[in-house]
Amino acid sequence: MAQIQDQEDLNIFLEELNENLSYLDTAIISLEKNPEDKDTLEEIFRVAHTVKGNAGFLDLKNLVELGHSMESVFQEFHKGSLAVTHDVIDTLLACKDTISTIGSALAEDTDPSSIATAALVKKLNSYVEKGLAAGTLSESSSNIDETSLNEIETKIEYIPGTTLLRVWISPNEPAPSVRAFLLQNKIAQFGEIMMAEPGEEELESHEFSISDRELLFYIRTELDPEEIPDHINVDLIERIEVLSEEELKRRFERASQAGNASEEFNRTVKEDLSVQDTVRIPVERLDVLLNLVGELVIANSGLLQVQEMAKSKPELAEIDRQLKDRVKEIFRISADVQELVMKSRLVPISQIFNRFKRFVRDYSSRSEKDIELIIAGDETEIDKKIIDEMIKPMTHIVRNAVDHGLETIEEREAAGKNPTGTLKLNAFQEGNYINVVIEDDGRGIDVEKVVQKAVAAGILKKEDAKNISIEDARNLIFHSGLSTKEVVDDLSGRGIGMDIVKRSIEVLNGTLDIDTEKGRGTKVIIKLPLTLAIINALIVVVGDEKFSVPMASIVETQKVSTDNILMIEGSEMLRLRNSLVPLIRLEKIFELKRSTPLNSKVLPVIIVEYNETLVGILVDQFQTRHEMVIKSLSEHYRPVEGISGASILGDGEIILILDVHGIIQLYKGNTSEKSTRILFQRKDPLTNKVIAEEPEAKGSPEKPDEDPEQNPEENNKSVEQQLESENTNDLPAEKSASVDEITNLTQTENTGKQQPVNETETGETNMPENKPDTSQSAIDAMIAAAKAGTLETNEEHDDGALSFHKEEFREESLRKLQTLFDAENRELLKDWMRQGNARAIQGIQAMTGSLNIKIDRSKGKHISIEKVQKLLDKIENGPQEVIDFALPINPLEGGVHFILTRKNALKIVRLLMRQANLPEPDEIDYEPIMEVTNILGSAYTNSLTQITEVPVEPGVPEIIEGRENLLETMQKIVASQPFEILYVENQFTWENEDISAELLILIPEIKI
Amino acid sequence: MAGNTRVFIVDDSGYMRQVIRKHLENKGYEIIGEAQDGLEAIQKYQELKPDITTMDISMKKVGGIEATKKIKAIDPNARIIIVSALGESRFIKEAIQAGAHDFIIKPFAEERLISSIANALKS
Repeated sequence: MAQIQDQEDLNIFLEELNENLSYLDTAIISLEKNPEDKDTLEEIFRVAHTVKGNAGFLDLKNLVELGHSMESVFQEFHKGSLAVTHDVIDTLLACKDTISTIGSALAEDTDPSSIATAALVKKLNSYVEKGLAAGTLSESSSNIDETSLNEIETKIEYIPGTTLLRVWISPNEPAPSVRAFLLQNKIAQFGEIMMAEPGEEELESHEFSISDRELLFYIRTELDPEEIPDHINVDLIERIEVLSEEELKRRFERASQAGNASEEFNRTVKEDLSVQDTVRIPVERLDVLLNLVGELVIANSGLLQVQEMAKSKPELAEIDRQLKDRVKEIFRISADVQELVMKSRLVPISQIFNRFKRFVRDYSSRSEKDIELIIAGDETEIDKKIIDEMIKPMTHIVRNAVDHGLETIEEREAAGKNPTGTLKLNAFQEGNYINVVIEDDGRGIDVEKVVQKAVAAGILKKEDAKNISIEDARNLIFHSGLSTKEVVDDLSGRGIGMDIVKRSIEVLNGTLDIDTEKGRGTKVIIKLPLTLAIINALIVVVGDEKFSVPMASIVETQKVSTDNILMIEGSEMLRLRNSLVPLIRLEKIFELKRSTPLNSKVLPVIIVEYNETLVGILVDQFQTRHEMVIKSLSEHYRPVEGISGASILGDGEIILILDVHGIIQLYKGNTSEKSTRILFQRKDPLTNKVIAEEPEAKGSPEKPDEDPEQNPEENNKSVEQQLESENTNDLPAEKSASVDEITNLTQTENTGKQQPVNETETGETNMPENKPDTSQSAIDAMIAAAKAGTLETNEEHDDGALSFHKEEFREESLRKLQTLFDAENRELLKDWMRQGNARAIQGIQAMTGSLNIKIDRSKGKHISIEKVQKLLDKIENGPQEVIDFALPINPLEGGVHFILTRKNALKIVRLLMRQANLPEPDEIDYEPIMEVTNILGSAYTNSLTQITEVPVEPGVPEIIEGRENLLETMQKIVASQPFEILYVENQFTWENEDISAELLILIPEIKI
Repeated sequence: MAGNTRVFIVDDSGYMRQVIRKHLENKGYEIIGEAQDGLEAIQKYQELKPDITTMDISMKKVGGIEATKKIKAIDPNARIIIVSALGESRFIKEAIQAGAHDFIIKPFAEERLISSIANALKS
């Protein structure tokens, strides 16, 4: 049960379960009539097997057990050793009903584990035993054991060249992910993890649950298998099993053979069912394969070098010739393998489309709408990863269409339309792209109204609105300022979240366009690359470096005369036809060095589009276009701004892929130079050693002639202003300066190099007076800075990598949190309270021993300002003096307030001290209660993060005696004039101790 | 073994420091110092050279993850055990990448701390 966290997964499971159950119902009955019908038997076996398999995935033990027993009964039927009697059929139907009950329990979010299945299982097993006794196959008694063995062993994969570590975590660890991270870290010290189960993504999302105690690591290491456990010194590990490559292979083969030999029935089923000879391969394994191909190419380029060496020696001419042919051949084979692997990642888009069949049917029957779903081109294939990423945005678009776009039968009739509305999903391939079209014939979007709203919201100037083109007007729908609920509510909600949908498509290197006509309908056109792993890119040269630029980001390429480069308000601008576009020099952004100065009068420029605005990127030279496989940088380095990954060219050369959006951000000066540092520590493909290149201290050697004195800081600013009109959400930049400073210093220290601080590039003007000399150690510098008072007492800055640095990320996060205020959907709030309360109680219980603590009252609601005023009065005139322990929730405005009377505070303190075997004080010691506040606060922030996936974090608690703090907090909230306040009131009581305390969570409505 | 082990406790809560101290002293560990924020921890670490450091994450001035990074930079062999209420994956990952030997989620049982220290001493 613990694994069911994703509502969407659960929904799919239930949807499938329902389909399977309705099949079972009719099939079991028809089996009674035709017991000899092998086709039905086989299909019924398969369905029971699927139910069992899915249940296992969700860890529904009773359902797995039931499914398994049903399977065994069908197996006996098939063998002919058990007769299909009325009695058995009755039992099977009862099983089906029980499964149905389990499904309903899941749907209603109640615990299905209490639903009894044992009696049915026992009954089924007795039939199976009867069948076995009838004994047509004597060896079948071992069948079940072998089957379960087979199931265990099939968890194991065989990956050539790897050793498998199976690690079991002790049940005493409440958070297994801690162990997983520790193990990852330890293993990385002596080997390379090729694949792990659970994988990195699963670990970082919150899906890694308490029940997953077994971890699998497929590693490559120089160590002998028996040495490995000694290198893993991690606490709370119960057992480690190491399977060498040979052992792994043997077990894997044995498992598949055992599977074949014992599951004779299974095999016949499979053979009959398989029209094609197909196997399922986990995508991760294909990823590993793809990486291995890349490494093959690198290894081969090593051979190429050997050949080069041979070339220079006449006596080795024959070897040179032979080697040359072989190297060529290996390159060719590698390319073929690469293509094949890429193709194997493609799956039909019906995987998404089919999800909507049921959704639309159900929606039609529930609402006063009649909707016909037309699906076309669902066999079109696309990369599995893209499919996964597309589910959310597609669902959003389809929901928009059926909820808001399509009208009710009545409305359609009134408008003279066919009463049945149509929703059409279509997909087709076009070159290396897949087009996905979602089209409805509903009411469309009133673009004029959007324009009016944009003017009202201050996004569009009134005079501009008059001359706006239809296209520009449509694009307003994607404006984040318009996509908020209040603004577009009466625009039939079509715009809600469209900016986020669009962005999520763009992350996949795709594009999204919308075509709509009032009264006629809306068409959303999504264009996606065939695969995420391969891009079509242009290779460019800048200085001594090569980069590749994804073709998807390029609008056009130009060779421009230097006469067309102008200096405007300190920024270089390019005259392009009738307009001016900002010009970016990559060598400045990345501090590239240049061994030969550039003296050309004609310069190649790549024109890219950013937020509907053109930007030019200056390069030295265009080279060829290439299809390249993207390798993520994150395995080796922390994310580098401006670089989305790397690729290996056919000759083994490593080339970095530019992230155009990131580059523009860098250009705008939002980031310090920290990210560019790591860029130039790359691994030599042959030696695997880090090649450190010292970036030049100052920007490019050649400055624009027009204005050599120009201060680059000025440059950044004015361009930022120019771009600002396109991007409305800038955070104050000066706040992060001290953090960057620290990070820079850390890196200086880690790389053992001195990095000159390039003030002009970063615009760090608020450095402390006693600015640390870079020769000082980082610690001294930090201490000095702290003493000078410039290191703010600020959590989110300190552990800044975790926090809300990125403005885009911040905005998206806040948007997610905003759903807490969704009046129509209180589920999120309820979930939060449920989880938070559970964790809070657990936390305090653990802290205070086995105390009888409970929550008497837990209310979460939205209250208006007037109510707050009343609340204030109540607090102000309350009978007792209270203490408020306040804990901010970053990055929200509000916080958690643990409020209790002085008397109760003392009681809690004494309780805690007693628990810790410490002397009980006679006066209130605040620290124990601060700790309780910390635990409570973490309980609610952790749950909020888990539910919304937004990293909110508790700040440092603060105490103010009396009511002042709370009053002040509330008054502040009132002064910020939100529409409403999320107000949570939980009352904790320690039953036997006669203590009670209030916990308030106050969050003013989130404004973005 | 416990008798020769010198432990340094970093936590912004005096209560928490007391609780940890009590647990450890009961088992015969020697507490050689305390710090209430990351900055103080970094400063004191250099003088104290403890065998084991327990480290909170959420602290004023300099947080525990940053302090762990700095201490590991001064002394790569430092054995640091994070003791924090922040049980989210991203904190855990950051802390471990920063070089923490183990991560204990508050509140915790006495045995958990003792077993973690015993394990850290093996390395």
